[in-house]
Amino acid sequence: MENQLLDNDQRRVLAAVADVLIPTNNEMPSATDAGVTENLIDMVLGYRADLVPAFLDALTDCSGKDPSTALDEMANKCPEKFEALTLLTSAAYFQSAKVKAALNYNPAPRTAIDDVDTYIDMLADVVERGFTIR
Amino acid sequence: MENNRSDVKDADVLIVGAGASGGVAALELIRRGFSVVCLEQGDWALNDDFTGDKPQWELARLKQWNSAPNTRAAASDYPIDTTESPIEPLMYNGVGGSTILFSGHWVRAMPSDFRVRTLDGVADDWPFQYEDLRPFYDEITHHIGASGLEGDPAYPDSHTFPLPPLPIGKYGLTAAKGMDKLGWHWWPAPNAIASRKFKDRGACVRYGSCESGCPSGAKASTDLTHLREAVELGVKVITGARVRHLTINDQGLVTGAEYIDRDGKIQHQAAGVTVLAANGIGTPRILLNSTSTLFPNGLANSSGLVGKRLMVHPYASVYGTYEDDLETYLGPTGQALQSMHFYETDTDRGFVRGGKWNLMPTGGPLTHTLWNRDTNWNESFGPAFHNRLRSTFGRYTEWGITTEDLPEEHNEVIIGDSFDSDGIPAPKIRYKISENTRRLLDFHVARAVEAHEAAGATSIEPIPVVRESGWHLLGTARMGTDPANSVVDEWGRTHDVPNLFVIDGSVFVTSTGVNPTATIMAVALRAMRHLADNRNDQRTAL
Repeated sequence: MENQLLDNDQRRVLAAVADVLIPTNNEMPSATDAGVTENLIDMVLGYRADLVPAFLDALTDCSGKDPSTALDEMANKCPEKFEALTLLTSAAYFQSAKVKAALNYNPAPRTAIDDVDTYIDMLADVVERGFTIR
Repeated sequence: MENNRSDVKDADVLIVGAGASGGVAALELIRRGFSVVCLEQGDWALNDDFTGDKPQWELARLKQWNSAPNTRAAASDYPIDTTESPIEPLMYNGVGGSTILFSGHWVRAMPSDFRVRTLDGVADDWPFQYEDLRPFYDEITHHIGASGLEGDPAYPDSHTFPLPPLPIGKYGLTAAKGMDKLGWHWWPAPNAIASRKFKDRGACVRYGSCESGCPSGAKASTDLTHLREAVELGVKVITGARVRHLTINDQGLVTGAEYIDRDGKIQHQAAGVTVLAANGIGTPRILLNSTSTLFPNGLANSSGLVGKRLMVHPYASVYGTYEDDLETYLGPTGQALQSMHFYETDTDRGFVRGGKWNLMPTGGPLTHTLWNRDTNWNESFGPAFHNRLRSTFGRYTEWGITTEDLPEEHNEVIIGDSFDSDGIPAPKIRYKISENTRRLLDFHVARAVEAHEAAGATSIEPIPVVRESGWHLLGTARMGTDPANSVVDEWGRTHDVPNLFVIDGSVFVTSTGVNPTATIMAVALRAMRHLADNRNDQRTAL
């Protein structure tokens, strides 16, 4: 596929690290289950070209190491790389249709429906309480 | 839309800056028959440029559409040295100015704001009163299509809105019930966001991306509310034009501005009258960079107050987490409720003046999973990732507190040691939070914690001072009647240079405790209408 920044080795490193950062739980998929290491990471790398060098460096630093150990070291010594890695991994995760469904996330657009009726009676009390204007 | 270089060799009026006040000035003056040129260092933006309706929104708002120019670092931005400030200044440089990225809180100042010396014995009174500004608030509110509900008892008049209030949503209703338990003031918040179609703008569709640009065009940024019409009527907006300094003649009148165009060439725009509308940092920067034999300390600076008395409204956030899904990812952002309950002085609290509260949503899921460098990463990732997301996403809401900081001369904009990409000396800000403001913040944060508790929050997270909160850049060319202690008169005319005006937030005498855009635009309209009404008495350089 064109426009893919990551080779297979880098994707394998990312998969190992990403599932430590975002593991599965009862309700939510893990990073790899959500498809982070497939097209989603490529998508978000395209959105933030400024973070690509730090992200790639982070993968290099994690290569061949235990993921948790590598993350510990990176968070302490190279926080800018850790930020790039975690921000883009999380952003890719939230692009996943599986994740949105699991979160019951129904984002906008939505019509701005007037809801004054739900609180108009409460406002009468606010007005009755009054306000001292200087 | 015309973005070409001016073909108006000598303009009646040159406006520097196409933002909130510049947009007001451009439309008012062109309607009154002046030839007008506006220099703007940024570009026009189209609704489709904004990412709130696109998958990259949450990433882009952290960089390309970040509110902080030092983070955004776009070609149109200039660096600001903030090493001596706990608050990062926020702004947007482009047509529409910071209204492109503002949250649209459309709040009038209170009557007491204009009389703080008289009422509280601090700072200074403004040279006019709330009643003097009221017709201009009314006019602008109806021109831009603000949404709100008439009858807020916090104000002396039941000022009206052309559009009904935006929905307060589930989280707004929850917070309102908490405020009622405490007997505290709240009101559905006024916003410069269209709740229904207004003129040629669509209604808000609740993306919640107001602070990174409105993709639906519902927000009343001045590129949409003023400058498009102004251009249609003949205003020449020259984009990519960064002003180096203003030029003067031997009579001490301003003759226009020298600027660097987008090709890096030096140009000059001549004008009979020049109006600065470049915000509370940009305007003093230009004045201080405009030194000459006649004005060795900068233009219009005989008082020494250009750049002094910077006020930025230190901002506190108090977040509450709730058990129920309150859909706090839905916009507008924008405010759902506001409270003025602790706005006025009560000396028993140990400080003077007060602040305004705004209830706001908290964005999409990525916002809730960002890593804070001060924390162990295991508190944000691993199993904690899901726990944090589940507890906050859709369930997390903010009482934000805009606090009135009083003017102090040591808080200032100066010319720093760095330069922008065109080689023009860049500004530095020196700012300290005063003891009065510290006490004010502490008090308000404690009360906002109580408000969340009363509303049933399961956990509460106060952030006493938010660094990235310097939206409100005020006071650096203050108004007044005495040239010895003010820079401009009540109409924005500089005391030292009779054909030079300042109309942005620089002219504020005190900061008020509310979001200032409505006041900036009302003050600008009042000043420019006075200029037009008195044009026969106006000295010009042409």
